[in-house]
Amino acid sequence: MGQEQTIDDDSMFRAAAGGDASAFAELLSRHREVVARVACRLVGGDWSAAEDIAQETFLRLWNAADRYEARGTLRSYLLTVAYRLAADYRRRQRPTTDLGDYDRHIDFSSDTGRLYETNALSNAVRDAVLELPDEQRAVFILSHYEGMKYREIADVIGCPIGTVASRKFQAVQTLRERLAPYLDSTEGVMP
Amino acid sequence: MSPCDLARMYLTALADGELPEEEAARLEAHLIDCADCRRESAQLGAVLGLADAWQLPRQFQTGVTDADARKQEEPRLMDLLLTEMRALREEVVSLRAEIAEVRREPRGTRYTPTTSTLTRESVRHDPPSLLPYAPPIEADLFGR
Repeated sequence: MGQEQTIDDDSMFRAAAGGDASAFAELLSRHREVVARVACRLVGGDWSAAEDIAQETFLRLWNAADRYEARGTLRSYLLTVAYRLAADYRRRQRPTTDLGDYDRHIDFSSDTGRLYETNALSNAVRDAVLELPDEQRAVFILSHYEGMKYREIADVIGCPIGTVASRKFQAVQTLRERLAPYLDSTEGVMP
Repeated sequence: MSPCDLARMYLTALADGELPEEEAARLEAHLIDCADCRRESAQLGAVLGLADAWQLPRQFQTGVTDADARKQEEPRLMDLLLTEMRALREEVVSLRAEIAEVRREPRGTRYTPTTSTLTRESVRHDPPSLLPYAPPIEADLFGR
């Protein structure tokens, strides 16, 4: 099935490179969502930056149409471009502003408070993932949130499969330490 | 490296379905025998479960169109925000009424807050020039 998708994508891309706009539109509709989603996580949930990265990714695909060679899947190629663009974006980013104890007035028993609490956990996980070293973070995002196989992640990141496995293991260990306050002490204990 | 150390290194790959069948079977057999590694495996599952709490904006979630995101997310957030804004507006109206009452009091009479949660001290320390229709500070100091 994966092979069929590769053939389809490549045929479609050849047609797009030959000037078939509808073929390019089809490729966009197939892959734009995953590219934007991965970019969004890689840049820490900044949807505006993620949209820009997704757009730039497809623009680069279009501009590289005559030089593109199918080595892995088209999706891997797109995610590799998005991964590099996201890394560039993060390097350009300034440190975020410390908002201090801005949440001290929030009533956690209200609906808004509960929504805030859910967001606080979401933000804590996001921050923990973003604090991972670059290579671990990308592996964790692609593996955990996108469910990608190690083989494809290796293509995207440009490293051996064994390295992907080891980075995933290290990422989970680091997250376990950083998210320890949120893990129930009794959770996960089996007789 | 002990068998347990080795086993724990592969727990993530096992959870991801990335181990060859034979190695997966060997690791699963070890988990049946080893309570410590079972606990480790369960804690790994807890960490991965917690990681799912990171939610993307709705338009980036799988299968959610922009229209879905607008329909499902905005009304809820808007309702909550509107409720809070209405409560704030009522508080502002109440504070304005109290400020007006303070202005009507003859000099020397003691003011006691009634409806607002604003304290007497905070009212007294507000700069007079910030209150609506307050006399200029100069008039208060030198105009008597």
